[in-house]
Amino acid sequence: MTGAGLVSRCAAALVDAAVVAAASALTGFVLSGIRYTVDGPPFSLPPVPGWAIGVGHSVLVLLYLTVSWTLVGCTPGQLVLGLRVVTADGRPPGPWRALVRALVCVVLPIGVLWLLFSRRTLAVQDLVARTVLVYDPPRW
Amino acid sequence: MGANGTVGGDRPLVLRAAGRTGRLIAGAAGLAIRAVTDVPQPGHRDRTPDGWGAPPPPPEPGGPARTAPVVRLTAARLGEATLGLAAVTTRRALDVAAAAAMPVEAAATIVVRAGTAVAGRSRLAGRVDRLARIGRAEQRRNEREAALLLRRAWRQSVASAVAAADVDAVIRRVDLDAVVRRIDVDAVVRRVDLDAVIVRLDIPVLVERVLDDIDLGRIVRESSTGAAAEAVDAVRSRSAGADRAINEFVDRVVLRRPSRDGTEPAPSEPGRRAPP
Repeated sequence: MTGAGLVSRCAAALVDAAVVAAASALTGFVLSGIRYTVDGPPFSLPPVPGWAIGVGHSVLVLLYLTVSWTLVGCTPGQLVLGLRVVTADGRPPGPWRALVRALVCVVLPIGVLWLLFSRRTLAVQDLVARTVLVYDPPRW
Repeated sequence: MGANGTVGGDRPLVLRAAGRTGRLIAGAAGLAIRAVTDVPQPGHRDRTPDGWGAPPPPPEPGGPARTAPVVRLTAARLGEATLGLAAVTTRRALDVAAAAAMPVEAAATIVVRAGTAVAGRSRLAGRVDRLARIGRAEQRRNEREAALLLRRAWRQSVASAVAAADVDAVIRRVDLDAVVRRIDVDAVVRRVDLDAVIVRLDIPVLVERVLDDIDLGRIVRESSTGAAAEAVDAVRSRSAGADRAINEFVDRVVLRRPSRDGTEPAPSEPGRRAPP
């Protein structure tokens, strides 16, 4: 089973990043609005330290990827690009496998470049979680 | 038979036919005898008061020069007497036959009725009926077979005639264009009462039905979905093509190894070279 290439994965990651960023921005704006309503002006984003933002976004992405792969088998970005995460038996990964894959994705994003050298076009997260990201465009 | 010698209408048909036949025979015999004997016709002055020809005067006793006419006259008289006898005999015979016909007919009727009654009592009627049924069935079968044979013969003759006929030649000779040209379509259309047709169509109901059948929402949904699907499909195919291109480039240029599985470039795709 050969995995998807670099461009498809990056495009899907872009879409997912846009989704997560939009959700994060929406959350921030909602919180700011609540704070503005309660404390009054000035309107500003919550004074959250940088490391908290990084950790929070990492956890958010982790949850996002794990839930998406467990429930549907693909993230919204992968759905748009017609990709799907499957295990060796062709089914969506279980929660633990999905969590491991999401952890590797978050911790070592550069690992996706391994697919350029892999004969089966597998990234590091695929090798660790024993999954494959296949082309599977849904029929409309 | 009446007094004037005509055949009576109260006699059976057979007797009447017999009387007519005897009269014809007697007339023919008389004509023949007259032609042979050549009896001299008496003049007008020799007629009796009732219009009939008067008998010739009795021969005078005389010489031998008048012997031959006397003999001929005598022969004619004898012939007529014979005819009269035949006529009288015929009339009598016919009268007797007519008198005998009624009791004979009655007796025959009685015999037939008695025979019918006896046959009904005995099993003869049943046998006759059975035989009649068999005969009828046989006759029906014969008729069927005959009809079948006739039909088959007719069909064969028609088929052979059709086979013998050159239909193509006939069709070639028929100028359909000329026939169509002779039809005045405008006149036909003019004769059609379109208003009546439109009145009968009930256009508003028709339009409502058509609008009910047309699901505009579904059409809009399908068209927008189709456009989005086409866009997404284009993105997918382009990204997959880019994937293949990058994999190919890495395999061939950077790593200098054969292409990996499942990423064989399509032969029609531009910018690709066949493997050396």
